[in-house]
Parts: sequence; C-alpha cells; structure tokens
Amino acid sequence: MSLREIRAVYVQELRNLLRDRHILIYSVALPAFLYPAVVIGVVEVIKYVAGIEEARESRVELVDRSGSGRIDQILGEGDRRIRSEVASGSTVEVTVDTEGARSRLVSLSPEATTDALVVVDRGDVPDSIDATIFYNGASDASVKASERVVSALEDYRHSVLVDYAKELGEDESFLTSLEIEDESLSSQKEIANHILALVLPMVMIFMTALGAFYPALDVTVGEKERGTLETTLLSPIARFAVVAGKYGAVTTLSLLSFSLNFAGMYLTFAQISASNHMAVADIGIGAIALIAVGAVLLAGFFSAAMMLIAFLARSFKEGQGYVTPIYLISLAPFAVLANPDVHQSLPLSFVPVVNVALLFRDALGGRADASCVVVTLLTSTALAMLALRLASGVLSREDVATGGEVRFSDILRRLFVAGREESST
Amino acid sequence: MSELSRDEQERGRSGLAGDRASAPSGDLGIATRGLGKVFHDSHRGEVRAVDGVSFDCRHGEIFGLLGPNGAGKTTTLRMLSTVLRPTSGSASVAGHDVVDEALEVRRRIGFLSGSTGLYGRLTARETLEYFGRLHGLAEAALKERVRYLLELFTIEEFADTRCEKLSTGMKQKVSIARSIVHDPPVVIFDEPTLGLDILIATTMLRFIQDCRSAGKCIIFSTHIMSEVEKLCDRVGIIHAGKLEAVGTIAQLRDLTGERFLEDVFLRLVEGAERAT
Repeated sequence: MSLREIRAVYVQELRNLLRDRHILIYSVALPAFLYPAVVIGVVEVIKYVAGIEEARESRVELVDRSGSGRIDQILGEGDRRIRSEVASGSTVEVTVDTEGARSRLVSLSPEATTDALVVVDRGDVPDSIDATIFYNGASDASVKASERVVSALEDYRHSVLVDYAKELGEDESFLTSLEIEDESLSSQKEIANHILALVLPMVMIFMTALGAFYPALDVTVGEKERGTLETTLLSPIARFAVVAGKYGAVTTLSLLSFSLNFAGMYLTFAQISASNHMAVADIGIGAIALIAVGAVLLAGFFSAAMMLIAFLARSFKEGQGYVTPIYLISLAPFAVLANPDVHQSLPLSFVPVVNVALLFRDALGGRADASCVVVTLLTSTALAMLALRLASGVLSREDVATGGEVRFSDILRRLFVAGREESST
Repeated sequence: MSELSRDEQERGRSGLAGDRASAPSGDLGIATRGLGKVFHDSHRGEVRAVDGVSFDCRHGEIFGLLGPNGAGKTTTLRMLSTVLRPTSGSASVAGHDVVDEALEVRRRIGFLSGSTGLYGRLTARETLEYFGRLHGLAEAALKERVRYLLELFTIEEFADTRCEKLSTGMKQKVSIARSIVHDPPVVIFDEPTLGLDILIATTMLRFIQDCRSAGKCIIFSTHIMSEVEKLCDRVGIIHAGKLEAVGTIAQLRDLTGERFLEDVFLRLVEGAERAT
C-alpha cells in the first residue's frame, strides 16, 4: 500500500462525489445557503408575528361588581392598546365558589371575540378592590391582553400607594423598604460566546453527520450497485488503500458541509445580531483551531462509521435503511448538550461524539482539561481507525465486495479473519 | 477501430513495466485445476456454482468458454480475476496463484464483464487515467497510453464526455480500454459484445484477434456461436458448474458427430443433463 494509491482513489472519489447532483445539494447547497436562509426566514416571521401581536389592540371585557367604575377608566388610560367593554350579564357568566378562593370562568364570550375578562369586586379592606383576570393561556393574544391589564393595574396600584405616602407626609422612597438590583458581570460578547458554545457543538454534530451521509453511501453501496466497486477492486492495490481513499473523500465532504454551514450560519447570526443591536460572538484564532480539530474528529468518526455500515448493504436503498439509524443515534448527544451545566469529565471523554462536543464547549469557555483533551483525541482517533480497519476487513469479504448476500452474524464472526487475509495480499 | 501504425502501437506500450507487456507466445497464461466455488444462500442452501473445472490457456491463444445462463462461466472468470475466492482447487494467472498472490495476478490481468461498471460521472479520459494510476503507470507513460487507447478505439471525440452520457457501444469501448490500460498479458472478456450493434461488435472481435496476435492469453465468454467459431482456438463447454468438454471446434465436432456448433453445444449440454 502506498500514499500514491490512496491519493489516486481519494482524488477520483472526490471528483466523482462533487459531480453528483444530490451530494451537491445535500452537502454543499443546503448547508451553505438553505439552512441560513431558513434561519433568516424564521427570525423574520417571528419578528413579523410579534409586531402584529404588539400592534393589535387587546379586547377586554370588564365585569365591575365593585361599583367604583375606576378600573374601566384605568384600562382606557394612556397608550396601552386595551379596548375594554363593560360586559353585560347575558354574555358573561362567572361563578364564584362558596369559599371565594377560586373562580371559574364558565364562558368568556359566546362569540369568542374577547381576549381577557377582568372581574372586579370590593376588597376586604374599605375602599379597596380585588381584580381577577381570566385569560386563555393557549392563546398568545389572550396572554398579551392579560399582561397589558396586569401592567395597567400595577401602575394604578403604585399611584394609589404614592397618594397614601403623600397623605402620610412621606415621599415615594417610603414605599421601597428593600431595593433589589442584579447586574451581570459578563460582557455582551461573553454572553454571545456562551450561547455559541452551547449551540455550535450541536451544529457540528448535525452538519458533519449530514455531510457524511450521502457521500458514505455513494462510495460504498452506491458503487457496489453500479459495479464500479468491483472494477476498482480488480486493481493491484490493497483493500485498505481503497477504503482509505474513499474515507478521505467522505471526510472531506463532511468537513466541507460543516464549514459552509458554519460560515453561513455565523454570517447570518452576525447580521441578525447587528440589525437588533446585539453583540456578535467573538471567534478568535484559538477558537477556530478548536473548531477545526473538533470538526475533523467528528467528521472522521461519522465517515468511518457510516462507511462501515453502508458497505454491508446490497443496494443504495438498503444502505439508507442501515445508515439512517446511525444518523439518528448521532443526534442523541443533543440531550446532554442541551444542558449547559454538563461539562467534560474523564468518563465522558470516552463517549464518542459527546466527548468532542463537550471538549469544544469547555475549551471555548476557557475550562478545557488537558487529560480530557488527550483522552478525547485518542478515543476519537482510535474509534475512527477501528471503523476503517473493520471497513477494510468487510471489503475483503467477497460477498460484500460483489454485492452478494451478507449475513451479519457471519460478518461479525469472520471480520477479523478477513482482515488478516487481506493483509496477506 | 482505427488502424494504428506499428510505431504508434509501440509508443502506446512504452513506459509500461516489462512483465506487464505480452509474455512469449506458447507459455501458460491461465491454468485451473479442479477449480470449485460453493455459495451459501439462505433460501437455496449450499449452491455449487463451479465444480472441479480444469483447463489451460496459453499466450497467443483465445479460449472460448461456452455455457447456458447460470452455467458457472462468470463465477469461473471472477475467480480468475481474484474477485471471488475458490472454495476448492487452484488457479494461476501468468504463473501466480489467484489466492496466495492476488495482487500479482491483478497486475497481470485485464478483466471485463457485466459486473465491472464505469464511473458514470468521470469522462472516458479520466476513467483510463484513474485505472492507469491504480496500476502504477508513471504519469508520462500514462498520458501516452491513454492517447493511444483513445485513438485505438476511436473514442477521442468523446474522450472528455462523462461516461454516463455515452452510448452503449461507446461505454463498452471505454470498458475494454479500461481493462487493458496496463497492457496485461492475460485478458478475460465476459460477453464483451452483449447488447452491441453489429458494427461495434465486429470492432470488438477484431480487437480481440489483435490481442491474440500480440501474444496475449485471452479467455472469451459468449452465448453467440458465430463469435466462437470466428475467434476461438479452443473451446470449453460448461454446464451446471462442470466443464463437459474442452478442445478445438474440430475436436468437439468429432466428439459429438455434429456439424454445426449450436448442435455440438446442445448435444453436450443435453448429454450432461441426462447424465445427472
């Protein structure tokens, strides 16, 4: 086996892959353009919907059983976008249970044109009133109406208290016995970096796995189906050289997919952040180097694992069936990564995929542990090499190479024997 | 196929390793002894695809392998190409054992069959260059060899067209050029004229005759009797995995008492079926 042989296979496979329309779409076009475009689209839609919601007037029905008439006046003051109507007894029925502790809304409005219902009663204290707001928690408009009413009533309560304070000869500060202030010591950039460290590992896993998916199928079972694998195996080169060349091409496309997506997403978020006057995450040279190492480890692992499994399939369709679960399992670490309090540890350094993602997260946060870094690098590299060795062994089996019937039990039993046979040739 | 001058042919072969060039006529190119292959099928159980096949083929000879569908022709040829491992017996190509010296065999053999496809997204030129590199050809020699083959098979006009866009005939020309890009002393053509029109099929047959003239050892498998009569020096009739008869066409006629090759073939196959 020589590097020249591996290089020849690598260059040919890469050229062949980059000329495939499906691979160009899934590994290049979608990561670079579609996913960032989707993010921009979603953000714009959210902003549009939020704008509509903000501009929309909340319709509030008022049942004033206190007889004061003050609440109707309060809700109508200022620019609160509340349109209140005093409800008639025929459209609203509110029952209060015997203990008076719990109210139940029987019918908000027969025509369902009301966002919230405010029921006002006399309070226990003289001249006081109790207000209860009924709203639909499953409706954004209703929740918004409730928030607006609460805000209006809070302002009213504050003005009442200020008046009381004045009557007692005190100023407004009299009302504040305990002042609480909280202040984050993190800069906006540090917060942006923290968010990046949470999100980026997931993007790395998703994109490297997706980027390897179709190329891994194409260079293995795809070639088997088209008969080109057998043509290549007729050449006087070692099976491992064939596998290594193909592996290099798949890993390259996986990395390309991630790189394009990362660049596209970063520019997208930078644009969104800038337009919303937010800080942009600061990715320095050190972080870029870490991202590169992490991406190479993940792409290398996924490429090797997917190729190994895909070699066992007899048709492209069957290969998709085999590799799809691997792809879905690769997303399982999201459950761990979603928790920002999970950090790298020696035991987790042995868990594939998770170890790389956590390593990257911690390194970006400036808390990478040297022993964990070493274990992660060794584990990931060893697993990729093992998968490659197994793939080479699998390819040495004639039933795999020629598209014949493959029995998993037979593969597992004879895998290493086949590998020794190959090494002898 | 274009008529190339002797000089051009020599240039086309220049730069190739010495033992890749044709071996002296008369030496054994292929020898099989009791070659057998058993497959394990989950539905049919143990399938004996090839059973004790023994024959020789010398350099400068075309050996025809004739048999009905499923007779074991392609399995035999795939064992010779090292794609399949024999389960019994032995075979050697240019003096190298197909199991113990698989890489050496692959260096000395050109193999074409229906199972050896072309990379559809590569052009004809890229295909030849790729397989030339895998066979270790130096870049300068490779360029010259590719130019020679493109001219030999009159595919220069389509040299930079992707293989997936070529006609069936053109694809077959590229496939044959691919199989001999390293100028092997032993070539195996499994039904090379399948699906080709008469013009291109004739071109292929002339090329195979040229290979014999160049001293190569050639195994030729086909269903078409007229091609066998036209090309083959000796013929092996294979049926149900067993080689029923081997000899020149004249010897097979004498053996069966039949005049036409179709009748010779039918007599041998039907006789084998009756015997089982």
